[in-house]
Amino acid sequence: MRYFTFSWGKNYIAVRALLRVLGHDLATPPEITASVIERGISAAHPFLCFSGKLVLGQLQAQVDRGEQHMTFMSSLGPEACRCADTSEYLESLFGTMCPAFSAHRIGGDGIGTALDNLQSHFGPRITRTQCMRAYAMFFGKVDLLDKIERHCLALFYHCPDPERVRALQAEAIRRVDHAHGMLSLWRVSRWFDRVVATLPKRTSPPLARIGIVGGEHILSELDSILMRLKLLAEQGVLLDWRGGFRCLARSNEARLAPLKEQCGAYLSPDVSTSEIFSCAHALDFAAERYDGLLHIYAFGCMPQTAAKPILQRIAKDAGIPMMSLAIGDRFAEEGLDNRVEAFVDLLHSRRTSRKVAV
Amino acid sequence: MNAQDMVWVGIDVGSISCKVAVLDRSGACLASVYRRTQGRVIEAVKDGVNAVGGVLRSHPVAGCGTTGSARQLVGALVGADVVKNEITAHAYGARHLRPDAQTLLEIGGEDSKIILMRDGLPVDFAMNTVCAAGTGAFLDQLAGRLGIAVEDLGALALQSSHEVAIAGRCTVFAESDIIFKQQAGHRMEDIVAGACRSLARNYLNDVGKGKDIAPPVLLLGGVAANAGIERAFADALGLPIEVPREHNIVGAMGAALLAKSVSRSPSSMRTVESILASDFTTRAFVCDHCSNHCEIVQFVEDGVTVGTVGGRCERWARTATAVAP
Repeated sequence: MRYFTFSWGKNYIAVRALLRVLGHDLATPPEITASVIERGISAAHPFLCFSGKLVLGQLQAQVDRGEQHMTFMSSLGPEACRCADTSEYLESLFGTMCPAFSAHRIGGDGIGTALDNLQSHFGPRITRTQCMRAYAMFFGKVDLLDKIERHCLALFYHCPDPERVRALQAEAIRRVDHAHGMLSLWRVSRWFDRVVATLPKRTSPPLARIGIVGGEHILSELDSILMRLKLLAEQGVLLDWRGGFRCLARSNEARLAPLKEQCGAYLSPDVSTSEIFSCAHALDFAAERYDGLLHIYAFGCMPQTAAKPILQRIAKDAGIPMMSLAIGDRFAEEGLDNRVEAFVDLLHSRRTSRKVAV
Repeated sequence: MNAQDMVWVGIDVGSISCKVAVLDRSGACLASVYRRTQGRVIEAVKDGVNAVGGVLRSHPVAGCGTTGSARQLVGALVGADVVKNEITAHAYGARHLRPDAQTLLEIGGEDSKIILMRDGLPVDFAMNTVCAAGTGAFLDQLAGRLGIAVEDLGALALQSSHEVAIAGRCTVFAESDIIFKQQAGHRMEDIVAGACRSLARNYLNDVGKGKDIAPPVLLLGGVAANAGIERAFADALGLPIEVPREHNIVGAMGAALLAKSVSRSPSSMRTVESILASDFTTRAFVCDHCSNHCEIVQFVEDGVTVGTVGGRCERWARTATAVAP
């Protein structure tokens, strides 16, 4: 059986770890190239979110490769997002082209539903112990990959040698992918911490401190977006991203309850996991007096579209600028660069004027 | 020539036009030029630099800034000291003209933006995405459809006594609507006035949505020359709209002021003769080194690569996008 994830990045590594425990492996997904994106756009309903279009493009590319047995695995958490409900849509699109196509949910609110979901696909021979080990590796890798991404994003500011940061990040991700047990994951984490401690540190204060909130899926996977932000970090902007795939993967009611309380009146009762994390992080950044909020999300993502006005209210109440960037097939890269650059200019000029006033 | 005679040059090249401004030490504009690029950016810049060449030859150039969507290319061509996005450049330029301005409405050929200023500082902005419905392209299309010069639209709009409603949300729908209104026998001035109002409405519902628009409000960009648009914004906002005399070169002025604030000495700007004589071309390719597949553009002069843009990593040396001083 060939398994398939949405992208080539960190989700891929984590899902592969889960499948390996169950005695399977993961096919390398097709790269998201311009032609893959075009195929996805042409196949998808125009209102499907950009991430969904990428998935469709990749599925089409898999069909082109001659793949006949594919499984689409979606949504690890209790999200109220259309991404979690694309299974039927995908089956309707690919059912005739690829008769063995199937779609399943993995994960769940607890080990019971997670086991049910795994058994629905892999059969009843999957034991509770196997399920727990599989998810332990999955979450272990998710956590460590998120930690590496968060640290490296900040390191692109803190360390004056971006080449070393890039090399460290690439090597750390490679080691995470090759780790086959919790002990080896722990060793990778220790190794990463030790190397970070040896990196040279920048002494000048940042031009601006920006808190990043938004769509975890697209931020976790689309390195092209983070690459652009890293260029800013190299110029002296401190970027802080506290989200990550683990936010969605590890969310359950018990974890969300304190965050909902923190967000208080900003949230309506019927909100999704993604919105709750974005708003809670935005409030944290505001409380810590960050210079600005950068909201990044996939165009068409319903939870983040709903989160946008809430985030704007949080930013307005806190008196800090916020900019939203929708990433998708309807936006030119030049425009994104313009906005990001102008936003940093704006934050820097505010920061400079405050210093003068003091 | 002495230091008191020093000048700063700003060049703003967008999708439709090339603007050049030369400022003296006090920020007064000694020379300026506005040219349509007609898709030939390098020739338009050479033409623009040549047009202000008299001032540049008689004054020491202390700095040069470029802005607009072609800013990297133009920066490499002229040897700019500062390459800066048009949002920041317009904020600098407008603050120079009207220090107490609180709202800048800027409408260019293919893009439109709103910049909120407070106490002389930009505090918020928004820019249209890929849809050009609220931009000058809409008016160009309208003029073409009606068979009149785009420059004549404003005066025509002011003659209207019964403007008609035009669906301005999309230029395609707008054109259909205009055809229908023409067939229905509406007068041309009423159609033009309706189109101006729909552009203003579309702009305010798109980039202006949720923004705290406060006076003084400046209308900038080439479209600001259209009196019909000015009136439409004034009516829609219920606020007086100011159109500075320099409305179409504010970005270029801002770029010059940014260069002045950097005060790099000596300026890296090339001489007029060197710019005019340069054999400058571009070369584009897709980098296949990783899955990002960046579209790389290299600027080549006399067979030598003098600049590269488009990469998302250090593999291809990129033109710096320094943060505003």
